[in-house]
Amino acid sequence: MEFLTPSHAWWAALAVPVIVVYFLKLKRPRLTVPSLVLWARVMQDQRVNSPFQRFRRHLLLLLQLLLLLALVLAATQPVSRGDVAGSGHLPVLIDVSASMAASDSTGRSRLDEAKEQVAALIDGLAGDRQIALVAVGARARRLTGFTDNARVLHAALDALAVDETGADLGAALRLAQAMARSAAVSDVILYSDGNVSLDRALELPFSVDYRLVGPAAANIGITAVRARRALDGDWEVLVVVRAVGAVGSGTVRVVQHGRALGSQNLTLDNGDNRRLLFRLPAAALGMVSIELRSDGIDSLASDNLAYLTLPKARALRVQLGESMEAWRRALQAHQELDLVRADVAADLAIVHSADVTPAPVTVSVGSIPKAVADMLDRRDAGTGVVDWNHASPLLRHAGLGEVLFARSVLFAPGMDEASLEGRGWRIAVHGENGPLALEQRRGETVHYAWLIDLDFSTLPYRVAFPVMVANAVQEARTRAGLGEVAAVRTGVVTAGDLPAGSSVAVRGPGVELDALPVDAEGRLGGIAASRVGLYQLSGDGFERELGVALLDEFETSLLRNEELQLGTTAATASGDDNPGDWPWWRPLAALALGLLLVEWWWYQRPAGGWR
Amino acid sequence: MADTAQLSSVLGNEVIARIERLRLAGSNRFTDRTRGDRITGRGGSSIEFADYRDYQHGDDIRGVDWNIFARLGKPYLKLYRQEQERHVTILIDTSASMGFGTKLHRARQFAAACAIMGLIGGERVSIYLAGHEPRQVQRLGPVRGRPSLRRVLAFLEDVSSGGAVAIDQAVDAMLARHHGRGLCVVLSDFLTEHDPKRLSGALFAAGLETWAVQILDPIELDPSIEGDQRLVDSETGAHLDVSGAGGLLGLYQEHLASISDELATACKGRGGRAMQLSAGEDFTTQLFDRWRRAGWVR
Repeated sequence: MEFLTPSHAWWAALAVPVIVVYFLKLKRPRLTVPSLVLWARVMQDQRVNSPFQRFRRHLLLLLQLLLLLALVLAATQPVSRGDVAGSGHLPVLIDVSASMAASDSTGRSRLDEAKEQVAALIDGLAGDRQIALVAVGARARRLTGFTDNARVLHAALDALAVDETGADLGAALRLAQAMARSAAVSDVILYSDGNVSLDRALELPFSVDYRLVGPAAANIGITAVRARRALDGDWEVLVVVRAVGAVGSGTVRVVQHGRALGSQNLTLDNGDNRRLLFRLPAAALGMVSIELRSDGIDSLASDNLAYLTLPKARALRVQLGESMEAWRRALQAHQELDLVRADVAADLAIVHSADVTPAPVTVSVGSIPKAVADMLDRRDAGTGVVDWNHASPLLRHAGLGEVLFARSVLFAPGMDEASLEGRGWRIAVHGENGPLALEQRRGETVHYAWLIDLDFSTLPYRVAFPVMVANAVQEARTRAGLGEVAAVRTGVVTAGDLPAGSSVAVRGPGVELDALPVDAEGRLGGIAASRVGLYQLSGDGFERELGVALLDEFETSLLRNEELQLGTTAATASGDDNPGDWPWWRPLAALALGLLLVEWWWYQRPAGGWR
Repeated sequence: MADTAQLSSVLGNEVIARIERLRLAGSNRFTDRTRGDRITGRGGSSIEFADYRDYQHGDDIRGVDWNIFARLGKPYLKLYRQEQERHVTILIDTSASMGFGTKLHRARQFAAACAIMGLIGGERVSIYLAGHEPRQVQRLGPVRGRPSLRRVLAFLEDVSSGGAVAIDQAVDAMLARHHGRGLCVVLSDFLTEHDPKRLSGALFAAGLETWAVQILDPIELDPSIEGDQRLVDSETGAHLDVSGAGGLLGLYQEHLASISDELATACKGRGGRAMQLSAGEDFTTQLFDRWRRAGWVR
């Protein structure tokens, strides 16, 4: 136990005047009795028999001293410290991801449980402690600054609602790191079900007290929705449904304009990941919704609905640079593909210059991007491919192991792969002495940069080359929504194919935004769509719908992680013990009030009242 | 009109009339040698036959029962009961504590009743008032006979309380002036520091059967005080601070019962008797019911 204001103990000196005044002012009512003989005997007998008579004789004084003691103790603010040591500033991170909406049989969600615990923490806030509330969703939101104002904290806590997104714990910890720079933070409390993602390891200057909330729950939900055109032009819609816990059966329906285009029943066991394929006619263009109805326990409602926008079919627009015959021949093998001029917006651009990205997917050949030109040096010495990023969409299934290059690229002195990553570039293909190809993803665009002209390599003569071109075409088709269409997930989303330069108003669940500018490429980014549903995009002469769904396998799984790996350290879920402080001033004040009432009652009680 | 017809403010005429039909009981061990109305034993000169005994030389020949002599041929002396006079002494404690409530009035009533019964019963009656000053008593009597009734009642009219003389000192002061055997009715609250055995022993030694009547006020019998009090003695003015008096009432009752028991034991040990009475109770009930049931009057 600690005393936050021990200096207030000086108030105990008031006991002296209390005692003095008591004895000075002690005015007993005089009562004339026939004789004191009996009373004298009684008093003598009673003093002998009762060693506590001195206390009983001055019960009022005793009560007054106890009252003063209780008040003085309350004034010194004794506090029983909780599990979180130290004092000062305490960021409290609250997971508000979709899985926190999972409810138990009583309808109480994980977030409700977390809010109750945080409310108890706020109520037990010691005078020397300040709390800042941070919501952990797809992005981290600071709900309050550091404050000990319980009303402000409770108001922020009450307004907290579940975001139907995943949880980016890394962003929240980085925010806490930033807060720690301006205030002394030794501990951070995280209330979560453990269903969070951490993109990279962090060096944390504080310890994380991880409070696991919510019981395990059963759930069934849609985790992925994709569509692609079949060879006959129809749409093949792939729906992935995942079940956890004892679930049962359910139905998945594909609905467009209120009409069911397809329906499938399914029965799932714990851990099942069922893939359902719906075949829709080629004419089924526009928005379709995929609805899941569970006949069993379903703890999460937000993952039962998904949207998919089926675009009109058109040829892929490809911009190809001059003197790129090998690329041209490879492209000729693909159907529904138009080679367009440089002034036409393309879906895929294959160019010489590494400093222009005229399309969502750009492949530059033979030049080093200016952004990293100071890090790399080109040499005439030959080299081979040492390794490549097999997960890169451009290089999937492309065997580059025997490809030789007549020229090579070296790192400038003091530069390495980490230096490139610091400028947003990753190495796609490693040569013997340095990178041969780089990859940069920025927003909705991707740029693959071959640093050496492929005419000085054996790649055009290898099978890997048409495979690589096919990968580029496929990625461009996907990004253009021509080949494979994926449903949009909650979070920060981007809408394309909007009138370039126009302004758009967005209306949707919890979102009301006006006059958002569309960029020159017809894209509107930065729409914070944290709720599942339809978002209306309207502008001058046009109106679009954007369907957003959860589609997060982790959130649907309602995974409860007992341990979170935070860089070099791990945070283990702690028990039900109270992390907050327990101030004693309230019970002491209540005790003082009780003593006051007892004293008043004792003093005012009627004669003979005991009998 | 009706008040002027009353003999006394102490007792009503109807009560006096009822009292006149009563007589004080008590043993006959303590009587004066003077002839009186109280038959005490054989060898007296009353007309009430007691026994026979053989005639002995020197006996008054007038006592021989000649009828027996004629029948048996032997002289037998006929004995008669002796009729001796009993001195009814009444001591009223007039200390200040008796002025509390109606205790003194009740003492005057019992004194008057005892005096009436004594006078009507042909006994000598003396009334002592003690309590104002140490070794000082006021005295009436001894008086005898119905004609003294008004005098007795008039004497009791003027009794007032005051002073701080303990009851044993009052008894000593009375005995210093008293002559005559009989009974002594002590009317007091006995709430002074004294030794009941010494008190009854002194009266016994003086040839007085002790009748101790402890008269207490209802507030003494059943006090209802609470909290912190400063109790002031009505006699001495001394004070005693009592805290949490409500919790002490049990002890108070125990000590009160103890004082009464000690008094009764001391009196009975000397052939006397004792009774505790409440000044708040009806006088006629106490006299005609309790005293009669207890055998104090008949």
